[in-house]
Amino acid sequence: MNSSSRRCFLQRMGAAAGFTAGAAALTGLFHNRNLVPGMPPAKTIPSFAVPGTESMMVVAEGTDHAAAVRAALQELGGIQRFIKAGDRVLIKPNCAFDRPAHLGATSSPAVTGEVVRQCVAAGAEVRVIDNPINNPEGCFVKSGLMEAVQSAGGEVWLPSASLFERVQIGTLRIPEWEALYRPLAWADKLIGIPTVKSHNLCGVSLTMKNWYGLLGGERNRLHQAIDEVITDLAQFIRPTLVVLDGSRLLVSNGPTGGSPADVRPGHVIAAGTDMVALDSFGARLLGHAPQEIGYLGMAANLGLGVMDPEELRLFKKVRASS
Amino acid sequence: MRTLRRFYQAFFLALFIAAFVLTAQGLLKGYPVTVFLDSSALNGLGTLLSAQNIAYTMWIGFLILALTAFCGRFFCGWICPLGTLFHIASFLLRPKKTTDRIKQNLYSRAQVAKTLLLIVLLMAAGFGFMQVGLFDPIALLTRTAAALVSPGMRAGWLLIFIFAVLLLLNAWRPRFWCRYICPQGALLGLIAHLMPGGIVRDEEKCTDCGLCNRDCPGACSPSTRTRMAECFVCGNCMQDCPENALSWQWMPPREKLDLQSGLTRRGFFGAIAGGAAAVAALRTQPAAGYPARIRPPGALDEPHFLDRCLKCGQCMKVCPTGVLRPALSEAGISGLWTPVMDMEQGYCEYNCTLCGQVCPTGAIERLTIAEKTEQPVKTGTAFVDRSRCLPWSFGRNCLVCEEVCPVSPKAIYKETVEVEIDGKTVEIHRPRVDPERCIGCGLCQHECPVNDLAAIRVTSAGESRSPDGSFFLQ
Repeated sequence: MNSSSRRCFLQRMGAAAGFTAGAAALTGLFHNRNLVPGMPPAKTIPSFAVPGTESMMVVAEGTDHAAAVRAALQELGGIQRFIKAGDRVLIKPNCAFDRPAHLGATSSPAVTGEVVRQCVAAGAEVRVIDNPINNPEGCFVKSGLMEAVQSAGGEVWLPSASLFERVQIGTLRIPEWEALYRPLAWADKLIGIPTVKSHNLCGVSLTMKNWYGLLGGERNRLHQAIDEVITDLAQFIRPTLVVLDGSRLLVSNGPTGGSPADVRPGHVIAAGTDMVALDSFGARLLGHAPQEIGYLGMAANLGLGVMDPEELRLFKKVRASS
Repeated sequence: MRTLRRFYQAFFLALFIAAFVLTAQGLLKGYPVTVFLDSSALNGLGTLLSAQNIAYTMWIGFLILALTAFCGRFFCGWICPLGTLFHIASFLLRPKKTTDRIKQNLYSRAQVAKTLLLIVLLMAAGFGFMQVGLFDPIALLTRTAAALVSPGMRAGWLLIFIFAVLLLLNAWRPRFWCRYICPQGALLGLIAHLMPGGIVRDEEKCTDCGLCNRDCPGACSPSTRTRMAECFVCGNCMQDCPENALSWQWMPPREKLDLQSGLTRRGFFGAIAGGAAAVAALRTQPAAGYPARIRPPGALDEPHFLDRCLKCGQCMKVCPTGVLRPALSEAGISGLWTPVMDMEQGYCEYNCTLCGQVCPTGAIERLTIAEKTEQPVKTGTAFVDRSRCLPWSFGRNCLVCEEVCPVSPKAIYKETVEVEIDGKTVEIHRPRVDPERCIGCGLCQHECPVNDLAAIRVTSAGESRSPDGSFFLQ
């Protein structure tokens, strides 16, 4: 055996050892590695409520619905109490369906437009969002909300897949769900403009149910426990302000309506911060006692609000002069 | 002349793309987005034969046909967007050597195939087997473009594959489609024989170098006698001739041009017989209907629909929910690529009639929203699959289908029953369908939480377009 073959032997042994060590290192690195990435932790959504404005509701009647909105806001202390100059305000009307405004399945353009105008006048940047059941653009255009929002100085934010992330929701049924996280993270303030509608499964669709439109994912599964899910939504969203649009009431065939015969004039706007009180008021407008509505009882039990308006810190009724 | 022609080709391609992009909700504001489909006289002639009807917008095609009698196949050389794309592909895929390019562009007797296809298609259309749109260049391009961009065209991969093959065939013969297959080109070629002029070779000056064939897209043989049925009147040959031996002449002696389409008597009668025989495919249609053959709202009853549908895919492009996709087997052989609703992809939007607005031939009627919703137009009927439905089969509440049902009063109603589950009495709401009110929009199916095979599904039964559509005793 000459020296050159010894060197050759050592080189080969070294290469083999290096190869083995490399393989072992790679195995160690990838061993038992979870190749399917886990779900990232769910995001949290902060409260949008302004301290000192809790437990209030003002009901304003009047056939001029924009004036009724102004009157209700006036009694609450003016929009300035809720919105500061420079705020980024996200508004969630009910724009769930591809319907013309007079059919009452979507928030009225007059009411939504007025809220946008008030916020813009207070110096805020306003974006309006909903994740509807039908084609989003079609819903905003045909409901008249696109036009109303834009002419009032706001912007419609059409939902797209990139806006959604998993967020924490509530304690009863859905701890986490896909939601419009990016708009919610963008916003400093959040205003809901629900409509007053009958609902096939849960009785009435009002403020709390309106937050459905912030969710994505397999929403159609939520109906299997609808009262618990709506109560979870009331834990998920603590809005700055709610303007319940009772300018017209969808009394039958809800929540889609579809015929003028399903709509009654309401001429009432309820603005406030207690979602249970607002929804109890709305339920009465549709001829339901709040106790009949499953999710209102659950929400009241969790201390999310009160059914009886007399228990509110501030409760007023006003007539808007038209 | 090359520069000018390229400018025109680019312009019309851009115009085609613009019309295509505008075929969308929110952009379609009365623009004549069907203008290219209308410009192909083949489409008008086909529907004339099959449906004894031409959409009035198709006058453009006949204008082009008339102009062809004076100017030849300028449509192929200067306008057709499909031709332009194939022209670009041919340019990119062309061989390096001049001799190879000349060889590729020599006239081939097989170019008569397109004329035979034209006869077969028109013959079959006359017998009610309307497949003109399958081979119309504009319908082909529109359909493929729709498959490429539309969310509702997941079934369209085959269309894209076919188009890719057609693109690659340009490497073997430049503008392969235009020379060998295109029946619209064949039709224009036949008319081009009427031309009072043509490209004529001066035999004194010609040195038989063959350079005129180098960039001849139509392979019309300018090096001997120009075949007017194949000539795209692009003028490349005149520009490429080093001896200036080729020139445009008005009223040349007839023997200076080749006015043969290459069609033999045997071929002609063969094609006639073939076209008549192709009608046998109609017999593959079932007596009743295919359950998945759910047509868009406003579609004429099936025989009349098939008489007019060009399978151009405009309806699929414009549909805001993407519910429309090209049929493969859902509508029989004669219904290949025709639009069907696929509720896995979308649903028919209640307040929408866009598909009828962009249909070039009226296969889908131009309805108003009121006409659609008040009659109402029924595209089918929803059936609850009780073995998969949550309330029916599993004793769980759901009722999403009822919630989203867009008609008033709702076509889905609930039946409330008390069910004992684990010793507890539970109230369960079960969905039921009222077939009189159901319009077959498929929103219930689209929204059903049972996500592989929905527990409520629409089939074409009960569609209002067909006179015997209803399955109830009236």
